[in-house]
Amino acid sequence: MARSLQVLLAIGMLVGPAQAQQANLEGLEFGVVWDGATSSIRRLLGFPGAAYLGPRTAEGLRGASISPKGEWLYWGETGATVLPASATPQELSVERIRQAGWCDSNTFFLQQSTASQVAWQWWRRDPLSGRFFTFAEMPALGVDAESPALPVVCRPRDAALFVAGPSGIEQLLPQSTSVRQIAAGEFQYLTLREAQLFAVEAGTAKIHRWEESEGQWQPQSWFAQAEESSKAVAAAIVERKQNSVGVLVAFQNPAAPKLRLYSMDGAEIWGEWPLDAQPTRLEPLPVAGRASRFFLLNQRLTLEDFLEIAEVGPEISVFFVPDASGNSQGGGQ
Amino acid sequence: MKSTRLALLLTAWLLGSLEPAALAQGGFPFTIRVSQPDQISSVANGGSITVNSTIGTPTNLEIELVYRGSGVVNIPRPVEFAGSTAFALESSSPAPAILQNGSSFRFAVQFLPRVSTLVTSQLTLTYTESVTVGTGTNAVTVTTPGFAQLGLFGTAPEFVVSYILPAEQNFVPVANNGVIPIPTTLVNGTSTVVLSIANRGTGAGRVLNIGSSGDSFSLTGLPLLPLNLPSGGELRVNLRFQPRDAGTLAGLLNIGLNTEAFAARLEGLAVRTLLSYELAQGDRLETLAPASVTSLGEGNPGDTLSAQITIRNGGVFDTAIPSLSLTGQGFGLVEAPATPVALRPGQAVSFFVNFAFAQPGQYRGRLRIGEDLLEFTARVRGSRLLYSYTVGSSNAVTVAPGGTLFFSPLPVGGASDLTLRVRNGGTTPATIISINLADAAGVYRLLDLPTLPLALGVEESLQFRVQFQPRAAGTTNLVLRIDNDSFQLSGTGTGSGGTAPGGLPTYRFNRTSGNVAPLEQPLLALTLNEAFDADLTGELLLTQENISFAADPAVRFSNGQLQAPFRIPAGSREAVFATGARQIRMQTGSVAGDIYVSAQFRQIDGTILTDPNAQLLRLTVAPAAPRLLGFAAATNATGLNLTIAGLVTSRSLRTLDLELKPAPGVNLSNPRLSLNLNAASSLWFGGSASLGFGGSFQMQVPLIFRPAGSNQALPARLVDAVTATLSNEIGASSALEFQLTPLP
Repeated sequence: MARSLQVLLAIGMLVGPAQAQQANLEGLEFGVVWDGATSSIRRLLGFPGAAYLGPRTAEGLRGASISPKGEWLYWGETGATVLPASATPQELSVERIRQAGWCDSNTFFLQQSTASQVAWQWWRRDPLSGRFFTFAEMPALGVDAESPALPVVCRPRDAALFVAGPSGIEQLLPQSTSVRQIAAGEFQYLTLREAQLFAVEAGTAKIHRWEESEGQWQPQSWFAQAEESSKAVAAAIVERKQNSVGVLVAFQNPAAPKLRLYSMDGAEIWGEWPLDAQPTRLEPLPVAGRASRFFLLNQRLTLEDFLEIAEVGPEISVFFVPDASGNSQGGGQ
Repeated sequence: MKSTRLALLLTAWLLGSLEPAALAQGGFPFTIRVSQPDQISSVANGGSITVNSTIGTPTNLEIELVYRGSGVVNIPRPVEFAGSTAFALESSSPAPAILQNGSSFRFAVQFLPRVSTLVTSQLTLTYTESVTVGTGTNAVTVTTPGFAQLGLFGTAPEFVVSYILPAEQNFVPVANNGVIPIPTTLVNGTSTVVLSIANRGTGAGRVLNIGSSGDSFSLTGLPLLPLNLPSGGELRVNLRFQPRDAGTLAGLLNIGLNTEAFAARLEGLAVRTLLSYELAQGDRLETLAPASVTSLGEGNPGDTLSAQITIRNGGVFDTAIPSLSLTGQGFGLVEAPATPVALRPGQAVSFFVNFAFAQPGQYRGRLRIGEDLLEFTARVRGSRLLYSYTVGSSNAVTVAPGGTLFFSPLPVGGASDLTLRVRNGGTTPATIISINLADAAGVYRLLDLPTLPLALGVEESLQFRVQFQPRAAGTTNLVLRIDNDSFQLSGTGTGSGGTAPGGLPTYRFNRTSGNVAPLEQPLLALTLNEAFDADLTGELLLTQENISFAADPAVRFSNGQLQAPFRIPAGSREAVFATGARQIRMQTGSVAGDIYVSAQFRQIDGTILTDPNAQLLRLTVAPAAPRLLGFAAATNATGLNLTIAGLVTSRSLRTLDLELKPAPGVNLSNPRLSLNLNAASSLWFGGSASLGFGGSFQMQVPLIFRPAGSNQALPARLVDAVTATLSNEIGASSALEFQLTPLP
C-alpha cells in the first residue's frame, strides 16, 4: 500500500551542515489482536474512539498470540508458526495447542492438552529451543479457557518461569526444569509486574499478591469487594501517573460489568468505570512493539461482538472497537 | 585370285547360270529382313536400321538373313558389333553354320539407350559362299568370302516438363516428384501456369496421359492423348489454380510418358489479399497477417503509442488498396494515403497508427484495409472502474460516474433492489476503500456489501445490491459514492405505505442535534413519547456526509454495522437493542462532517411503516486544529527518530514544529525546527490509502545530527526532550513533549 509521503526537512545540529530529512505520513494503527470470531489476526486501525478491526490478516487459525513487540505466534491443527517482525517465520511441530502466551519477544509458552494431561512448552527463540513440563491433572490448573492468562507466568526481566502451586508461587526456571504437581489453585488470572505477582482467584474475588524479596515470594491477599453478582476475572497493575500505581480489577456482572481501580493494598477504591461487554482479561496491548497504555478487556466470540479496550492514563477511558467489515445496510462503508 | 573369281562370275552371268537374286544383289547372296516391335522391313546389305527406345528400356531387333544363292554358305562365327555399346547381341543362330538355298541365319540385337543422343553401331556377319559351276569334270567350285554389314542408329526421346509463370515467361524445369509453385492467388481468383512437355531427345516419345488432383487445380488445353511427340516437339497445357479458401493448397500433377510416370506436387498460396502488412515500432519489425491482433504496447495515461504500418503489394499482379479505415477508442491514422491507392507488384505505402487515451484500460483498434482486418491492442496503465447495474433479470445497464441508477416506481412500503456491478477494466489492480450512501431517511440501503477496503484485480469485479424502500409518495434522489465516483439514485414511491394501527407514535432520541467531538463514543437511545399497544421493531440508521466524500469506516454502531436493530415491546416506550441494552454506542469517527441518525419502524412482516414524524439526529464533527495523540522519540546512530500519532478532522496539515531540548553539554545550532507538511498532507489525505484511516495518521520523522567537527562522534545523549506542535489552516495543536531521559 502506498501510504507514505515524504517531506524534506533541513536542520543543522551541533553547528554541522544541514542534512535533508524526510517525514513519512502513514495510517495509524494501535495494535494487533487475535480475533476469535473470525479465527484470524486483525490489526486495530485508527485510534481508540474512532477505530475498527482491520482486514483479516491470517485466517483459518486455531489461535494466535501477539508478543509485546508485535510478533505473532499462531497455530492451526498441526503446528505453530512464529512470525518475527522482520525475519523468516519459524515453524513448530506441536499439535493440540490449546493456548499460548508470550513472556517477552524471545520467550513464549505453548499449552498442549490431551485427555489425561496438560503439557507446557516453554520456548526460547534465536535459536529456537524448548523445554517441556507435564502436569497430570488438568482441572487443577484452573485455567480459564477464554483467557490467554496462564497459571504459569514469566518474569519479563529475566524470563524466569513461575507456576502457581499450593503454597503460592514457585519458580520453575531457570532454577529447575522438573515437573511440579500443582494442587487446586483455581487462579483465574495471573499478572506479573517486576517483583510483584498478582492473581485473581476464581469465584472469590480474592486478589493474591506476591512480592519477591531476596528470592523469596511473600504472599499477601485481599478481597476485591463488589456487588454480590460481580465476579473479579482479571487484575493488572497500572500506573495512572507518576508515582501512582494501583491495581485495576475487571469485574464480570450480568447487568453492570465494570473496572475498578484499587490501591496496591486494596484498601482504597480510586475509581470505577462501567463496561459495555463482559470482561475476560486485562491484557496489555502492545502498539508497534512498544508497551502502550491500552488494555484489551475481552475477546470477540461472534461477529456482532466488539472489542473493549481500556486506556489507562491520568484518566481511565473505555472504548469499544467494532468490526466494520460485515455487510452493512442503510449506509455505506 | 580376284581376277579369277571375277572372271568366273562374269562367265556364269553370261551363261545365265546365276540366280537372279544373286545377281540383283550384286553378288550378295542374302536377303535381310529386320523385325522391330512394330514393323518388319527389308534392308539391303550395307544399309542401316534406326531403333527408338526409351532411355533405360531395351528394344530388340530380330534380323534374319535368308540365303538365296545356289551354293553353300559357311558362317564361321557370330555377328560382330562395332560402335556404341547400346547395341548388343541378344541371341543368335548357332555359328558356325552352313546354309543352303532358302535357309536362314537369325540373330537378335538389343538396343538399350542410356542417353537421349543418337548412338551408332555397325554389325558385321562374315561368311564364305561356295558355288559349283559346271558339271562333271568341268565342275568348278568357286568359294567367295563376303560379309553382311548393317549400320545401326539408336534414338531415344527425353521429356522435360517445365512450367512457365505468366509474369516471368521463363521455362522452369521440374524434376520428377518436384514441386510446381503457383503464384499467390486471391481467393476465388484464378492463376494459370503453362505446363510445357518438351521432347529434347533424338527419338519420338509418347505422352500417354496428363492429369491433376486437388480441388483448386485443373488442366485446360489438353490434346487428344496419347500423343506422339517427335524429337524436338513440345506440348503445352494450362494448369489453372482457382482457390476457394485462403491458405496453402496442394495438388498433384501426373503425366504418363512412354513407360515412365512423371509426378509433381502443386502448391498454391491462396490469400484474401495480395497485400502484405508490416509494422515498425522502434526496433520492432513485424509482418502482420490479416485478422491478426498486434499489441502496440503499454503507456501511461496521456502517452501516445505509435507504429508505422507499411502495405506492400507482395503479389505478381497489380492491385489496389480500395479503402482504409481505423476504428477504436483512442486510435487514429496519421499520414494515411487517400484511397484508392494503386500498387504495382513490389510497391508499398506507409502511414502511422497512433494510440493516445487518458483512461486506463485495455483498448482495441480495428484497421480495415479493403477486406483485410488488422487488430491492434494498447494498454493504458492504471486501474479503471466500470459500472453497470441490473434490475431483476434485465440486461445490464452501463452507467458512468455522475450517471443515474433508476428504480421502477414502487408502492410506498414496498422494496425493490438493483445489483450494481463494479469491474476493474484497467490494467492494474484497483482498491475500493469506501462505498457510501448518505441516506438520512433510510429510503435507500446497501446490501451484500463486500468487506472493504477491497482490492480488485484486473478484470475482477464486485457487486452489491442497492435497495429502494419508498417511505412516502414521490421521487427520492440520493447520491451513492464509491470512493471518488458518485451516482444518483432515483426512485419513485407511489400510493401510501403501511400504517401502524392507530398511527405510529412520535418518538425522540436521547440527545439533540449538534456538534460532537471526534473519537467520541456516545450512547444513543430511542424513546416513544407514549407507549404503543403492539410490539414494534425497527432499526437505527447511521449515514454520513463528510469532507472527504468517502465514508469514515470508523463511524459505526458498536455492533460494527450502520444499522442497529431494536425492538419496543408492547406497552413500553424504550427501544431495546440486540444486546438487551436500552442504549447503544456509536463512534463519531475522525473526519469532519455530518453524521445522521434516523429510525425506521417495521411491522411484524417486515414492512416499513410510514413515519409522518420522522426524526433526524444530526451530529456534526467540526473541522478543527490537529490533535496530537501520541509522541515517541528514539535515538539511533545518526540522531533521533520521531513517531507522531495524530488526528486532524479536516484531513489537512500544514506544519510540524519541533523544539529540541539539548542534553547537557550539547549545543544545538538549530533547536527549533519547522517542517512544511502541505505537500505531504495533500498527497496523503488526497490518496485513497488514507480513506480507511479517516483523520488519524502517524508520522515518522528521522532527524539526523552532524557534529561540528568532521572527526567528532555524536554524543550518546543528544536531546533530553522533544516538544511537537502540529498545525493546519484552523489552528495549532497543544504542544506535546516527549522526555528522552528520566526526569530528575
